[in-house]
Amino acid sequence: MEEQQAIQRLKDDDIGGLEFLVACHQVKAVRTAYLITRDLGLAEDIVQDAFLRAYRSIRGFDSTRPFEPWFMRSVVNASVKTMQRSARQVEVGEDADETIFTELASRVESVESQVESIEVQNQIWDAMQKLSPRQRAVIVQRYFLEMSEAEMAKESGTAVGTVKWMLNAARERLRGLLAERSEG
Amino acid sequence: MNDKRMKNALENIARRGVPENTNLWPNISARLERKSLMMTLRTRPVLLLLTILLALTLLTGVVYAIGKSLGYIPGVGFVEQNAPVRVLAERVSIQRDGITLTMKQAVADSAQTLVMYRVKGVSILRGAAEQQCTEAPALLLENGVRLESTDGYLTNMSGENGVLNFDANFTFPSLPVGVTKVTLIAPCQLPTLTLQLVPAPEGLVLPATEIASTFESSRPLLPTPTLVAGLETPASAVYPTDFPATPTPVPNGSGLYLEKVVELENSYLLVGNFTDAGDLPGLLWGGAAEESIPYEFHVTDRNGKPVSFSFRPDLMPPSGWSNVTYWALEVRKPLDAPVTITLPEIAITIDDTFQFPVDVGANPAVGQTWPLNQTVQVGGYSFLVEGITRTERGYRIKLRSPLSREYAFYDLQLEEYIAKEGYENFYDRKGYFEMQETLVFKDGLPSGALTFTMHIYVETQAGPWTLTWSPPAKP
Repeated sequence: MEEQQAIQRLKDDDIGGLEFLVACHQVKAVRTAYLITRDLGLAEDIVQDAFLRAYRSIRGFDSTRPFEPWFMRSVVNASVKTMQRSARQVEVGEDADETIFTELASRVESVESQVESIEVQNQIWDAMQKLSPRQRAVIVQRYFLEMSEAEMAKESGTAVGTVKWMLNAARERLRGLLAERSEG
Repeated sequence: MNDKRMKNALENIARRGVPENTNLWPNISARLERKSLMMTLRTRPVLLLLTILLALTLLTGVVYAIGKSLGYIPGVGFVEQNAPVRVLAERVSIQRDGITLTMKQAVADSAQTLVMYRVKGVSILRGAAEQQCTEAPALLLENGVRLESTDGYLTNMSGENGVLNFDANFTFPSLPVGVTKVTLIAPCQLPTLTLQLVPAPEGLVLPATEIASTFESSRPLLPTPTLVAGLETPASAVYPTDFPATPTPVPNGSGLYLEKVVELENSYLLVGNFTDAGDLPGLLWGGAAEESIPYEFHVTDRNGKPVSFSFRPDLMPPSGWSNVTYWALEVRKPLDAPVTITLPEIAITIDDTFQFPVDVGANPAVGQTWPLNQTVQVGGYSFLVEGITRTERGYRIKLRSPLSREYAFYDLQLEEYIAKEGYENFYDRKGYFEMQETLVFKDGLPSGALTFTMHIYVETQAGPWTLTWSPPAKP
């Protein structure tokens, strides 16, 4: 079954269409939400809700357009909103317990050949924790979902200047945090 | 750090956190089954007839709510008072392995049972979900009946030094009359907790009445104006025109709708929505709308004077419709009715794509220009595409725009080629804005017959949207 067929089936109230869309998009969607929320359970809840919202609003969806950008917008927005509403800023600041970093690192597989990249990943993961949910979202949209600034502007409903500014601010902050950790 | 390294790092982080065999379908299908009763009701002819009648009523611009006696507990919400309301006798807590659950409130009315608690001390490293802390609790009655939650959400999450704290609000079916003791089957693998309920003390439940009310709404003229005289309106819109599913019928199209009005002693609580019915001349993005629309209202009385009011996001129901944005206001008494609730404007994005085939030949020279001088229109605005120029390492397109950089965005692509990078230059000329979009190629300059694709996005405002409402006359 092609995606457009699945969407049409869903528009015709055939739930099999949704099952197809879930199978196609769930992993990438949960990973996107996870990178923003940092909690697998929350990420799964967010994506489940997003699929249910898609199910309810599919009749308003222009099926000549691809499903993924439309759906991922919903996932990203819901992830940011969830984090903002919950005010969940997990502060791991300068005075934070260093054992957190050690324990996080210890959970990572220690294949020797991957040490460098794993270290880099951990640094990025830790640094991203210090970004705001919105900043994390723009990083995830740009680098994980590989959206262009134009697409990000369109998807977020803001001016492209705002997207550029947010992306730049997030990148600068991330760069600074990574530099701090490298020097430390 | 380059883009690829960042991309790979995020991919690997995500892979480590989210397994490839993730399967959400069982939960999603179970949730859909729970809603199937509602879906069945929706398709019943009688209900359909009622919906049509309601829609006809709305077409006149007036809707009458059905009166209902309610109570209101600040910080909790509305309660129904067909039977005595029972509340938690006192705060109680349970603790294990550093995790503490404190029951803040429990409210049992004739329609439902609400439990509100705070969980503190969940290890971030082990994860809230992995410790089953985000799971819904259950209620166990003394006669052995187990009640499962019908709705719920987590809020006020905060964390520091490796631990996470959050509030949880869960809804259950109503308790039988006379039940004053229930057992909470707690999350986080915590021990069970006995909840003692007592009649709500006097003064806790404020008198509130869902009142009959009327409203009329108005919308601005759409689409947005054309800046350049003599231009024709775009021939067609690519946006959906079918009305999507909404919680209320929207025969008037996109706009403000009032869903509920509750009268308190000193104020009125108004809950409504802005519905994008698919008839806007552009796209209103849900995420941005939810962050702005509920907080941009102003309220005036019959003389146009400002009315004292406050935003009440705690009363906004969660929206299950991506095209519906809820709002909730508390308007103070006394009122010189009717009052007008105004949403000054919404931001919508209109976009279109244009292609420009150009044969640059086998050896285009730096500085060589191919004039286009084509006028394209987006959202009623006119853009003059002047031409394409060969640059040192790529191609530049130049156009004249009536809109400043904040309200227009341009994305240039070259069909069948991927540019290494792109950049833009922007100039404020006398009477227009000049935009130059440049594509840079690393591995050889494309040549011959080329097709440049320009995607233009225009951000524009539509408003004002108003809703006029009067409280019913007192008998």
